[in-house]
Amino acid sequence: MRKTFFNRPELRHAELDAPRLVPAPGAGNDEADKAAPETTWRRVHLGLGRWIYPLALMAALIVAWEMVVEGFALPRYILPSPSLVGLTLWEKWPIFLAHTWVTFQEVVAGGLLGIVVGIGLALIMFFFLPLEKALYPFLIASQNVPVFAIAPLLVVWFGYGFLPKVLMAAIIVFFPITVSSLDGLKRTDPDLVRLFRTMGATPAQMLWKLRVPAALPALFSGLKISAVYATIGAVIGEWVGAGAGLGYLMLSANAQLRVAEVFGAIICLTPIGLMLLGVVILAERILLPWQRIARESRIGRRFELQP
Amino acid sequence: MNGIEADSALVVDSLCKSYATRSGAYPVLQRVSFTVPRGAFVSLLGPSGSGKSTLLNILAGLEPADSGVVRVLGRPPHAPLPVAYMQQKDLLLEWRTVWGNILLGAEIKSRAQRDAMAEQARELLREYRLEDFADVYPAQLSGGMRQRAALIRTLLCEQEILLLDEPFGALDALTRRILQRHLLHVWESMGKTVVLVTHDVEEALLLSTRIVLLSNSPGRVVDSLEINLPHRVRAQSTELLRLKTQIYRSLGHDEENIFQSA
Repeated sequence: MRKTFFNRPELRHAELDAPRLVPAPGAGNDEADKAAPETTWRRVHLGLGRWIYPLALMAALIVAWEMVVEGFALPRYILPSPSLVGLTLWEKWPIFLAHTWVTFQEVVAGGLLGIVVGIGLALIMFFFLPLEKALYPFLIASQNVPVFAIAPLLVVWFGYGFLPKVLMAAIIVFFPITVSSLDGLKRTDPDLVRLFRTMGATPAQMLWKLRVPAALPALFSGLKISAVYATIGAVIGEWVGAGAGLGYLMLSANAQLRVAEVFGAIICLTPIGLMLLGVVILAERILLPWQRIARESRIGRRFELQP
Repeated sequence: MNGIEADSALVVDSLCKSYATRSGAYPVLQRVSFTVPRGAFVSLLGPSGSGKSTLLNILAGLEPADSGVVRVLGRPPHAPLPVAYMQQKDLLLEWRTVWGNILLGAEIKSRAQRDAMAEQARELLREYRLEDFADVYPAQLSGGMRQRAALIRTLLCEQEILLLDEPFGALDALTRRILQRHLLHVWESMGKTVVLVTHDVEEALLLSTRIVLLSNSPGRVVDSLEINLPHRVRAQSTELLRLKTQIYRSLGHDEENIFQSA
């Protein structure tokens, strides 16, 4: 007897079970097929374009810079050529590395301190409304005081060492963290709060299962800003008084018109901020996988069930 | 009165509620009374502004009433009601997978409760054809699937009474029909008591065993209908047409009048 669909029960089951996963009407098969070439192009575009375009721009700028310096025969104490900056970095790399390491430590320590203080402050303000009302104006006002104004005071109080730079970075970092996490905590969907109440959630459950997870995306926005700003704090701290660090290196080189070294220090400064930003973005991807998934599936719902 | 109350699960007696506005107290509910027999499917039907959602919020314990009593028979008068509450918004937690979402109610009770519910959760996922999506985040689901997950979560709260506030209002007509069938199935097989708020006359007629009609602001009970037809035959029933006309008339929407004035 020929085997057909009807005398092979195992096949029949497969038939019944298989078609459960079908594309949503909005992202149906037809559309997906039509969109395929465009998607491939987009992927190439995103993968390469992300790096190729900025790298090309950078190369063009460096070439233009080199040509300007050569063409106008600018003295090296006004504007050194990029090749000279590269050479200086190459020849003095142990010095640059040592100072970068100092600044890096200050930035990381200051950033962590700022994060802890920032989140703590946000939690305190969230749970004690009078405290929020009392603190918030000061918090805003504190941001109108230029950090430069505080830096010399920190030197007077804490000397020329590691601590005032850490504090400087922390002072710059805590504000975006506090504001973003407080905002995140406050913007919990009130309907979700009501749902938790009907389920009989305790205040602790309300915090850990609802408010904190709901606030995390906002917190990460603050963290990204902070990762970039922390370096500024540390460098300012070094400018007003230090014996080491890239800010110190910059200032002493500047005073002696060794401008190529100033540029070298600036180049060493960038990867610190970029690295911290990278760590924050990586942490976000690991801790909030649902966010990326939500972003991606905004293009179209992934699944639709057959009725 | 005792006769009615004896087989009632939920008694709502003379509920009044008003909200304070700038121009004084604005009444939302005025002496609303009705009973929900145990195991019944009761729809609260009324136009928008009839205080249906406020009423359900009071039943869910989210808002206090100004006066009046809500109680479940056989329980102390001020004990929290054994209700599970579901809204038009599915209110899934975006940071939890479907599995984490549907077990939320059990998890809030205790970890042991959550483990105990796992088997039932799997069964419900299978029944609602969501078993392949247990590890998926809500953002990846369609509206109908999200609402189904929300319904499973509501069922897994293990409460006798389900309070549903226009649960299918945001869905397209076809998906809504499928979910209505699911809901009926759940109601029949799990022996729950359902209180459904809706402004959809058809929905109320197709699903309920009793319809409580609420008038426009302030909400008052204007009529209460019993529907004893089996659910299977309802879609084709002429009796339902008659009830529909009666409902529109009770709510002040006499179809003949509408067409005459048009």
